[in-house]
Amino acid sequence: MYKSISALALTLAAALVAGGAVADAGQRYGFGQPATPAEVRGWNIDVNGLTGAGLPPGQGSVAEGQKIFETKCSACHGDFGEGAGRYPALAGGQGTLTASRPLKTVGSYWPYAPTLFDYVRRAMPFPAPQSLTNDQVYAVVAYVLSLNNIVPGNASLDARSLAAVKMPNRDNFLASTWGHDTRPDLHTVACMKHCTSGPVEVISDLVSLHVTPPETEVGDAGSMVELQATPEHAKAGSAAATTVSFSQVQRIILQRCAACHAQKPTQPGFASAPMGVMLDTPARIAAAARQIDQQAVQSQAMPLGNITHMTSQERKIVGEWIAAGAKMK
Amino acid sequence: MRENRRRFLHSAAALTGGTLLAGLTGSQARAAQGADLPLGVPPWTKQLGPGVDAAPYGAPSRYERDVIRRNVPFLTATTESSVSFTPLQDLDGVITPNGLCFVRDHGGTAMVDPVQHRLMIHGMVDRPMVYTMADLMRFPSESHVYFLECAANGGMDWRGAQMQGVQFSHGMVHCCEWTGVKLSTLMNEAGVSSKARWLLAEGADAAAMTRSIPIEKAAGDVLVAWSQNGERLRPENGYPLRLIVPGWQGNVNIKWLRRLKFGQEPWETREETSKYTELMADGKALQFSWAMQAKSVITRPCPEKPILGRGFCEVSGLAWSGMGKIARVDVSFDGGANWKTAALQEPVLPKSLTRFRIPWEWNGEVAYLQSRAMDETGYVQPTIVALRNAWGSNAIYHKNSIHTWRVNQNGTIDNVQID
Repeated sequence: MYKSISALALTLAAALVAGGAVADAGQRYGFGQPATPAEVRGWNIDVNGLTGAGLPPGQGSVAEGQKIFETKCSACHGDFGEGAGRYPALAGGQGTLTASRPLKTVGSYWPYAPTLFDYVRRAMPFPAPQSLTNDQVYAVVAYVLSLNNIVPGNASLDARSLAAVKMPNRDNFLASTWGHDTRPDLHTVACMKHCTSGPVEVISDLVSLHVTPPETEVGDAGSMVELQATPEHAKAGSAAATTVSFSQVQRIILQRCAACHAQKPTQPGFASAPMGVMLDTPARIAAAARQIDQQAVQSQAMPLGNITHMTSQERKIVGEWIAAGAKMK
Repeated sequence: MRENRRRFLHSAAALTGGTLLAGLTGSQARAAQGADLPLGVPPWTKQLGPGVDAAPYGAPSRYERDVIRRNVPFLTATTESSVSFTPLQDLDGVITPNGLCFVRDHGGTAMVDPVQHRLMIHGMVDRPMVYTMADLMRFPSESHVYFLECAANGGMDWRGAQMQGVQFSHGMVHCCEWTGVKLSTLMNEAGVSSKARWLLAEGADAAAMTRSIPIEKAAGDVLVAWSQNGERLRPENGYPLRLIVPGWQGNVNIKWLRRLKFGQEPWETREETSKYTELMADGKALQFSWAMQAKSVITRPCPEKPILGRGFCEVSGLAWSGMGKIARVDVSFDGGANWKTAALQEPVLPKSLTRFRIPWEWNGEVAYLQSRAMDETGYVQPTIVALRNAWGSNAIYHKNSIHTWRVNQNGTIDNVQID
């Protein structure tokens, strides 16, 4: 590109001078192209949740919305917005925000109705976003609001009526602004010596809780993290009172044994299962029942050094399953 | 299951011996090798390795194959709207390798063709503009190191200790050197109206993610970035263009950035009303809690990296604050009764991860390790009890409390919460 080193140096020097000039406020570079009105229209889909600005022409009724919802939405959100599996509920939960397990839905939590239009239009249905017409979006929004008893069952919504909807939880948000943070100030002091008295008191112990990801149900998929600290199964004193299920045993074995005892151990350093014992499928677990009994229930030689914290309760469960015939169900 | 398996793996690697040499101390490894002594000549010394063209884009050693992002399958209904976690336990320094940066997607990873990608700037501006990537990269650029943390990082431990591993308890954070054009440059270019108070940033992904940002922040240190750690953004981190909003909750740092619209009011989008708001015990919710407050965690030892034996143990971890530089990190070995100030690895940069280290002699007894960060504003990281007293247990986001690792007598580490 440059003919010589000296030409390069001259070019750099010129660039530095130019750089000094454009650093002045107000100087423009002029790159890019002006956006045409048509180009802006193509992407300008945002709706202001507070004011409803940007809501497009069109309308939709609760009845129309129900049909669309049952076709395109209910597989995840349930026929009546109750949610399916770990997908979020859209209705219900009003009055639960101060409960220990709040249910945050459109009706119980969302502060502004036009936000629902904006979100459905831009991001729903989850596998086919931006596939609904504006009329369809109005209809789905009307149906979801009716499920929450916010609009009547014979309602039809358009830009004006949707912007006028007042959501039940609207006044319960404390918004920070620039330079003003609404978070509680904790006034923490960085004490250095003798800051606490008495022995350490553990108030939540992951090991004793036995909380493991696959054993924990979660209610709100979108928020990801609404978990419980003390699931019922963790508090249960004895699982042995009832018949031990194979799934219980399988969970214990996979959790405590199968990192090494698998056809393809995930443990670096293990090219194959130690002693050829594989415990990574139901059939293999059942087939190895006698060895499991000897090693993990009777002698308790396994897991090595009990590095996986297999509990005596778990050994007991496994032992009862074996004593009952080690059945795979 | 994966989480438990992983926890098991790392613990076992350190303690059970056998063929798990990588995690063993010298004496343990020697005992395990037994008949191989005296040291033999390994195969890689007795044959040629592959040529320089074998890996045009290099990858980690095959022996590092468990250093990966991991997700928690039960957390979310789908992997497209979900999160994977940075393996903090395996990382040194403060820079996160691009392939290990945690990923939070809301509609899957958009696979954007950079030639077709456009950034539109419009709304309350004198000159609505459309830019190609080539246009944007003609502007003067800057590079800055910033952490980026999901607002929900640590959220699974709000109600109690639940995540047995620092990857899951703290892994929704990464730290990169970002390169791009200052948003203020583009604002000047478009001629943003003096009446504009807010900015809407929108992504080109299947979630068409949108967040509102106040004009003061937009005109400050925000970058429109195309590179991380010297190379172009990874697809899962927003390729080819993303917003970097230093110190603020990750969700605001819009990936696959395609539109910036200036206006007078916040847009009150779904992501800043129904999500990314903090429900307090009294039923009120905090909104627009953008900045991530000071936080720290010990990354070694940790559940994945147990202590291998008595004696010297370097305790090391990460601290960060969305409000500026980390001023100090204190470490306690007795559950918060007494604290010692740790050394900070230079350079200490604002709104960046900061590495701290402190030497310790482990006597083989149960110990409770904690770290406590203080930032340059004087803010001190709170205890979990203080945080819950003020916020309740349903906030989900912005959990920045002091974290406790219990060292057991066998050197394993557990996640616990103490009064």
